[in-house]
Amino acid sequence: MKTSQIIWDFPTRAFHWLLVLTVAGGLITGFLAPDSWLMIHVWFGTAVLALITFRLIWGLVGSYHSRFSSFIYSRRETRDHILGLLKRKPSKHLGHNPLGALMIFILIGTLLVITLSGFVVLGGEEKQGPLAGVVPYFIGKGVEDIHETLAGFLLFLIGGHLFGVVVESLLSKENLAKSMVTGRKAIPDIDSDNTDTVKGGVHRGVSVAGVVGLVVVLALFLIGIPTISGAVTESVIPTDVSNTQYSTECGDCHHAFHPSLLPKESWFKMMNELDNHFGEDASLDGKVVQSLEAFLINNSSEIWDTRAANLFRNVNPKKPLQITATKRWKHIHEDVPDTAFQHKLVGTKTNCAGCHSGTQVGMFADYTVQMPKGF
Amino acid sequence: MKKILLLTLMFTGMAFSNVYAQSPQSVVLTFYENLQREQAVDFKGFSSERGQNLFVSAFSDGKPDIPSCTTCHTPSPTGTGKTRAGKIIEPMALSINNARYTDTVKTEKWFRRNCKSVMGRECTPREKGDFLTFMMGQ
Ligand code: HEC
Ligand code: HEC
Ligand code: HEC
Repeated sequence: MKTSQIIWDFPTRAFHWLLVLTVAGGLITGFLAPDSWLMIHVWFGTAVLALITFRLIWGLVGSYHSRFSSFIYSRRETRDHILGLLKRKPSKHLGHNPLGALMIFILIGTLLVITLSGFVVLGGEEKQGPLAGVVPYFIGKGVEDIHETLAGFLLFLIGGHLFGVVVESLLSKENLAKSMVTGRKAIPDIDSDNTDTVKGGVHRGVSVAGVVGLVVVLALFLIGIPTISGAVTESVIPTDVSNTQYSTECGDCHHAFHPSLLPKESWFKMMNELDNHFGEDASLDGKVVQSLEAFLINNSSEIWDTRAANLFRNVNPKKPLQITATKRWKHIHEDVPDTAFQHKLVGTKTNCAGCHSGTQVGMFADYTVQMPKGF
Repeated sequence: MKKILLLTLMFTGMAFSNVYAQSPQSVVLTFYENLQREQAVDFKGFSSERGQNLFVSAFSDGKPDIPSCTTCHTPSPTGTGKTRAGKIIEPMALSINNARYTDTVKTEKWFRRNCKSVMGRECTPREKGDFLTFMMGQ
């Protein structure tokens, strides 16, 4: 008669199922949810990174079957296992079998790269998160492709993982998914050809330490990362123009366009022809012009590295004073209907603040767009 | 008792006249009055009627899209206007917007811009005084 024993300690099982939940959350918010869910997506990603970090530590100090050393197999063992599988008689393993182990390493590696690249994208493109201060926009933009491609690859891996579990469960006549819940697996007969011996059961103390470790790592990441991010973003988010001389002087006819939306050449030109400013006289006292010019140039699109600064830096040579005349601006807004711009709460396409929050710091992001009701 | 009442009345009266004399709007108006006195010896005071006329008239020498003050400020002094870029302009009538005409530099800046845009030239101190007199009575 077969007996069973706890193989997967509680921390490993908790890790596994929390990972299932947070990866599912990350995938759903990444692929399906509207842009406005970005911060929830980032929360899931942070949790995944925390879990993986915990697993890497637990893989060194956890109970026997949780340790990586217990499921690193030689190429030969792996080949034998595959050959066995083909004959429908795979080699038996108390812990992970060689293919399962391989999948685990690939999954952990992939998740690590996905979450870390996520922070690179977040830092570079959105100027948010712990890497906001160090990743330039163009790198964030480039890494976005890697992040997304790997997310697609992850779907494929998850499919493979589930398929593997089903196949191995059927062939070994043991419900492996259930083992990951109860932690128990059947102990093979002593006289079988299995060489895997029953090593080190799971001590209660080890499990308790693991659970404490898991909670600590999760808390550190989920509280620590947003805290660091808050501190970092302050230095990379452009100057707030509200309540400045600039917004008083340039914010009466339209909201004060953030200086980071145009290059300094454009601002120079504009400040030199204020007496005919888009068909209006917007002239100012010479001293005021000088002081505003200095402010504009110190905050122009050459100075800041936000998305908007990067997008609109290349002005339309025929209309260098207009953000709305740039190719990029038109392209981004081509799906926005004219009626949305004409909505009574917006008025014109130049009223960026009618749909975007964060205009006072020149931060534009699709996840913060607030279209007027009905759009 | 009567004495006290009288004194109180006197003081409040003084306080009121004091406020009136120093109201920022009157400072702005006095600024134009002094300018106008420098230019014309026979200054007979500003006219609310001429001010109203300036406000509602259409001009042809300015920018084609903005023929009149009312283009932005609406035909009613108490109306909430709109700039061409869609931003709200608070009413011009002092009675419902006492933040108006409190700063000579600001008022002067807008007279210069708006008169040039609408009429193609700067307004004279008299025109400005008339306009303010009209709006302050609204
Ligand atoms: C007297 C009113 C007025 C004042 C004052 C004014 N503007 Fe404008 N501005 C306009 C109008 C009108 C437009 C055209 C808006 C439109 O097409 O919707 C415009 C357009 C712009 C645009 C182009 C927006 C785009 O992308 O199409 C920029 C940039 C701009 N203004 C900057 C400034 C700055 C800087 C100042 C301060 C020095 C200033 N404006 C002061 C009336 C004004
Ligand atoms: C009628 C509403 C509306 C107005 C007005 C508007 N936008 Fe947008 N904007 C949007 C929408 C909607 C999107 C998202 C488009 C998408 O994701 O396909 C967007 C996207 C953007 C983006 C890209 C954000 C990202 O994360 O990719 C930038 C930058 C931007 N707008 C800048 C501006 C600027 C600058 C102005 C003013 C000159 C402006 N917008 C005016 C609705 C508006
Ligand atoms: C193109 C739109 C436009 C037109 C036309 C226009 N104004 Fe204005 N006006 C404004 C804006 C915008 C402000 C400043 C917004 C505010 O103070 O609320 C302003 C402010 C003023 C102020 C300053 C008020 C204060 O609080 O000190 C005066 C005075 C004024 N306008 C007079 C006129 C006169 C006179 C005309 C016609 C000759 C005129 N405006 C036409 C847009 C316009």
